[in-house]
Amino acid sequence: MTKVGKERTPHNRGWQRLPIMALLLLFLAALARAYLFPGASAAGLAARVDASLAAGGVGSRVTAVLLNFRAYDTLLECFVLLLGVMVVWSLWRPDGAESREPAAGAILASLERLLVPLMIMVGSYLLWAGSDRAGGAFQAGAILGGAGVLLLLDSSPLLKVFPKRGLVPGLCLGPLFFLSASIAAMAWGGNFLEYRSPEAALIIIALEGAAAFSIGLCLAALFGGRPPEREAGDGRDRPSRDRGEFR
Amino acid sequence: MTISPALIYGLTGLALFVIGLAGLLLCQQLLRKILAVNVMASGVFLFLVTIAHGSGALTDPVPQAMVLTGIVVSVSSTAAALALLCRIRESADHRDLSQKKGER
Amino acid sequence: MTAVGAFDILLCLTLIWLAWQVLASRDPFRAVVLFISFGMLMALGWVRLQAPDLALAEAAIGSGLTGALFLSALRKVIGGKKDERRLDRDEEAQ
Repeated sequence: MTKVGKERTPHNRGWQRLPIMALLLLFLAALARAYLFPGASAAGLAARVDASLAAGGVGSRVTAVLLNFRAYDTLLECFVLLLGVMVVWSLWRPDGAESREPAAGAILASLERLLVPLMIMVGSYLLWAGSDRAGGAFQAGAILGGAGVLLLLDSSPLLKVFPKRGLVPGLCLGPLFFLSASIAAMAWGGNFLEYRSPEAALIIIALEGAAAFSIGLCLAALFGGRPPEREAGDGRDRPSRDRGEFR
Repeated sequence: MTISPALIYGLTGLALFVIGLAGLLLCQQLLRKILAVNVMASGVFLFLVTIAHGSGALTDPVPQAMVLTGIVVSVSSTAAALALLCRIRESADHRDLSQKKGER
Repeated sequence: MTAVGAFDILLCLTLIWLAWQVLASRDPFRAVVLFISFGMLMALGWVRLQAPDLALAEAAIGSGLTGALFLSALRKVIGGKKDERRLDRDEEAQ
């Protein structure tokens, strides 16, 4: 797969690269021309967002766009993260597990003892600050995911605090809560994924909390790459079958 | 046209996109191709946000929100691509081993 | 404006140079580390473009988590065997 071009000499390959480079440079010039001399300038959406910000329930414009005006983006994005976790899990092979068991170091252990509580605190702050400043569910989820990665790095005993059976429900919590809240908003007479003024702030904060939790868990699961059931033992026939494909 | 930050960052976004495209087309290693796709995505994000920044006195939050979504989506697609890469490499190793042993 | 403009130009040139190095450097480990620093400088660019939300997300996700993913994949693919890295280098140098 990676050895396609092996037989070519460097000189030869350099010549073959030239036309591609030239075409790409032409492409860049065309793009730059289109950017510098636009045909028609389109008005942005900033004015419309500002006009309806009061009805959105939160003070931060980006948060209002993400969780209210264009909430379907965020909803689908949560599902994309879930999809990524499913892909990574289905490609997991127990064979590769030995190579990535790192040696637990004292520095890493003390670092995570220091940093993980701090990261959880910063994540919660970002979540709370997101309603009227920079921050929000994604950033909080990212910090939580970073804390999870740190714990996964030396398979910390703190990981046992989270029950293995709780992993999949935890991953699904954000998107499912999102879906049910928007369906409930429909039942209250609004449109799908549309929250009106008085209760909007509360709903958005709750949604953000659930979404941040799930996003953090998803990111940590993407890094961990190990599905929870396999190590419990019911997937024991899987590796032999996989290995059999190549024998 | 005067040199404004919007101009500089917009052109940089375009250049990053084309550099990433060149890497995607010309690099041989799969890992390098995944890096190239990430560079391309960075270029697109930079360009989108620059347009949002340059369109008026107030920045436009809609492209920013879209880019925020895009960053998270690109992480999950990168993770999926890297898992595929590891799987491809492992199966290639297996095939190499079995060819060396003469089993196939 | 001039100092700020110079900073913008310097930042953009560094970004382009780093992107080129990420794709052109022979050592994959070096490429990944350069990609992480590329993400960090990108976060600086978001701040300059008045998008602090994006700066936070890029620093945490785009640079931190993606970098961790790449490093872990790199170790899985070539980490265990010492001469593999040299092999990869040869492959690129050809």
